[in-house]
Amino acid sequence: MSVMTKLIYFAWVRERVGLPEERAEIPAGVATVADLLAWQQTRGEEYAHAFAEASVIRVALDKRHAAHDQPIAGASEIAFFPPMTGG
Amino acid sequence: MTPLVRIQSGPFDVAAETARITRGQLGIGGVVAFTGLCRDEGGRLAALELEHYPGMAEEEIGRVAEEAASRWPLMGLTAIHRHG
Repeated sequence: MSVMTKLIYFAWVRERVGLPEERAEIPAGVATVADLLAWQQTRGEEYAHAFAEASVIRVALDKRHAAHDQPIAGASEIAFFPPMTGG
Repeated sequence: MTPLVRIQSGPFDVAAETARITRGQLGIGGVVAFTGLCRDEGGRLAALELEHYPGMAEEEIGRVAEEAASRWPLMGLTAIHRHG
């Protein structure tokens, strides 16, 4: 039984990946947000380009901001966006 | 007090929102409104498109609103954020 996780992309992350969203099976062993970003880099040329600077990418797990050392276990929806600015 | 949080593309009217928040609430002694604007960065910025994550934007702003409501004895709180 495989679990498909919804991955959502915003702004230039979406433009580089070429998809607004997708469902993917996240491999076992990808435990944290940092692991997830590293895995994204391996999925193809567009992904490598989008996630080249993984440290600046912001990630939300089930609509909550997550630090890069946070475990992703149980998240059904994961969003990726560039740094946000305001004001 | 339940905060009102709206994420919308259309404009909003501060006077109308002030009337809404005070309607029937004669115990309110003051209303403070903050309006954020998009600056032109010294003429370097001509246009800005704001994307939003439907669902998360409301939740996140809602969390901030709940925090404010727990820190201060607010009788009303409205937060509106535009996108587009």
